[in-house]
Amino acid sequence: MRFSATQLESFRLFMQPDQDWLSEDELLATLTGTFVPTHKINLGQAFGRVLESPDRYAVPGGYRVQVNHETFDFGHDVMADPLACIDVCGVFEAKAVKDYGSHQVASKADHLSGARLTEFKTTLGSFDFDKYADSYQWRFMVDAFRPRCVIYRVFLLSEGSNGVIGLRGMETFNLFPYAALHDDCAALVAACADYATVKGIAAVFDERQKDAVSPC
Amino acid sequence: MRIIKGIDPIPVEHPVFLIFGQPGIGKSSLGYSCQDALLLDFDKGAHRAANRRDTLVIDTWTDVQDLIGDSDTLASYGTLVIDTVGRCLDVMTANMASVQPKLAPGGNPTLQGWGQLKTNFRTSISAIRSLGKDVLLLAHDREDKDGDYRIVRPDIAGGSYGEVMKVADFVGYLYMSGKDRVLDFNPTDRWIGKNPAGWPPFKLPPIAKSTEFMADLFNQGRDALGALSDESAGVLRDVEQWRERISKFTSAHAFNDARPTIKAISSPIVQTQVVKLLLDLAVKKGVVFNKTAKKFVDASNKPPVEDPIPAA
Repeated sequence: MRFSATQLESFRLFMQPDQDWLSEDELLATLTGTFVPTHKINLGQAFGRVLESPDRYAVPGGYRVQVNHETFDFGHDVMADPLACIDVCGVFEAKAVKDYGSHQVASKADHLSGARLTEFKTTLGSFDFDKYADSYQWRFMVDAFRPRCVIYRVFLLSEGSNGVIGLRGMETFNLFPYAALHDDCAALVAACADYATVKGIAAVFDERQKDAVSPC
Repeated sequence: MRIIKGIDPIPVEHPVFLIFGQPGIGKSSLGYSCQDALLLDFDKGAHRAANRRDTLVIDTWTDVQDLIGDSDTLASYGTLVIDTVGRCLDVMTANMASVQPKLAPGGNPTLQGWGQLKTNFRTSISAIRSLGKDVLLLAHDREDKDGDYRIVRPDIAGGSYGEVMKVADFVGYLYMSGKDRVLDFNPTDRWIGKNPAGWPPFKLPPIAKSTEFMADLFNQGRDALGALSDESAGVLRDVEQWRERISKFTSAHAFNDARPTIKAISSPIVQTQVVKLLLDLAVKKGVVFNKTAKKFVDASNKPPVEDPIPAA
């Protein structure tokens, strides 16, 4: 079976004992690729696109991006600091695939520069270090890309009732590989594969593995 | 002015360590094993520590402000130990209640007060870091419960917890394993951690013999962060060489020719970047990767154009 790091993180969150915000229907929709992105997800994607290609989305006064039929405007005042923290030497949206026995996990890094992997996150809420540190998304990326350091850049956004996006702040922190990381990842892959088999959706992931082709 | 080029390493001269654990496990004693340590005793528990060295008992926030402004006194110390961060925040809160009583009426921060406390803490940590000393933060532990799931974290209230976790290069949990004290920087499903050096868990020597333990660890940590920076600069150089090489490709043939060499790159962090550079340039050059044919072809679906064979 072939999973994405994002799907596995959704599965991990769903399995947390006291979580009640992610229903099983929503998890299955995420796993099978039928999940409809929310406004917050679209906002994060739009923000990420400007970080990657500001020239492409430049309009007078700022940037305009359309994601899943939603249009987002970001003023120069909002994007100036986030764009200034981008390391221009790096590459965006690099992909990697890691084998876990007969299964595979595909992940996409927001930004790589040297041996550092950077993830860009947006939130309309408050900064929560544990939310990111507990995530398995960065663990799968570390296992696949083998960076020496993962840098999280969290952009705290606000959204007015008129749809105007503001920047409340930026938080940055580092996370690092550790010895048991691969075993932790392998255990989650095995658990998710068992779950997919029990739920009768294993074929979806088998098909993805069969169709996958890499240029190198 | 000294500009460091992107492909050159940046040394980390003064790493920040955070060590958390149960009360009485020996955190303060460990703090005294730092190089030329000055322990800021917020907890008023330094008298219980072994191997005691210089200590500043903190009664009010003014004591901290006086210290930060006294460069003569600070000159003889190499490491500042904050013992503990949680109690430090209590002292800051008391100061805020005195200076800005509306933000902490009766000593209890309001919602706005918690935000101000976080800002004050961030500013203070920046001021301490700017002194050019090693910094060891000590914290008690607390256990978070989620159903049957339990995880141990540093006991630091409010948004200041995030500030500490951001600023700390190394985060280690000190715990008892049988009769041994163990310091582990690896995150597990039981506790959080940060381990840029890739250290295995340390079984600490008896307290009486731990007089240099943290001084050695700071030096090892400095070396590890330096090595990380060196390695990253090396990867950047490798990728830049590939960028230069790939930029000269003009045909699908050239892209296909490079595939075996790129596939043979042993470092995933280099290979994944080179592949992305290759794919990005292919798009710019009107070349696409055909998944069916499993090779690069011209975007117009014409057969790939062969590079001209050089004349003999």
